This record gives sequence, C-alpha cells and structure tokens, in this order.
Amino acid sequence: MKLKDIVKKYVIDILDHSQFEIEVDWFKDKQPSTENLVKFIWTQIDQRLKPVVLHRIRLHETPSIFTDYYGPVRNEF
Amino acid sequence: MSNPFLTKVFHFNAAHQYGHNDWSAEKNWEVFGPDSKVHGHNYILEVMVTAAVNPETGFMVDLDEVKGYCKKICN
Repeated sequence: MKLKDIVKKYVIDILDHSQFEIEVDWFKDKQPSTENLVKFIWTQIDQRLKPVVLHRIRLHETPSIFTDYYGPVRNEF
Repeated sequence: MSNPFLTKVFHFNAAHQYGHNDWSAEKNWEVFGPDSKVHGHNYILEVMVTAAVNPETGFMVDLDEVKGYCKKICN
C-alpha cells in the first residue's frame, strides 16, 4: 500500500469534515488539540508504513501555529 | 550513511470544541475562551518518513509502486 493511500484511509477519511472529539472514539476523554491530533495520527499510520520509518508528524492548525511529533519513545518526560 | 527524509503534505478540514461536559459554560469559557465554542480549521498535515533508497528506482522502498516495478523487472 502506498504512503498516500495509508494516510488517506487511516487519517484523512476519518478526520476530514468531522467534529473529531465527538466522532472519533480515540478522543473520548481527551481535548481535541493539535497536540492530541498528532499523537492520534502517529498511532494510525506508524505500524502500517513498515519497512518505511515514520520520522515526524507536523500538523499546521493555523498559518502561525504547528505541532511536531516524533513518536512515543522520544521527548516523553 | 544516513537515509534521506521525504515529506508528503495532506489537507483536511475539521471542526472541534474544547471543554468538559461536567463543567459549567462559564468555567469552560474561563479556561478555553472562544475555543469552548464549535469552530473549524483548515489543517495541513506533513508526514515525514525515512527509508533506504532502492538503487534501481531511486525511490524509497515501498513508498510508491516499487513492488509492481520489482515484480516486473525481477520476472
């Protein structure tokens, strides 16, 4: 499966035109922030990309704010 | 030698609303401000990946239709 198809099926088709804190179970008991969105997106595609390695998710919420996520191992304090 | 990093960009639009159902509207407004109302964003998603480059295609393995290409030249 291509990168494009994996992201479309497991991220875009789920989030696009949604109100995701209501429609997506993963957000139950979580706030619908960009910080949580990047974690959700990581869990949706990380394992499916093998043997390609997912390095970073960057999500722009507005022209002046974006969030980076490098996965659950690094940068967890 | 390290592998290159490739980024693909996607777009999606979504709505969201911050707040806790068991808080009063006033408390949600106090903590989250206007974000406690339903609103939307035009999100831009960048997915950055890394992998070994297939010397025959010049592409990262399995990123595109490499499987089909390999099948064709290997048979």
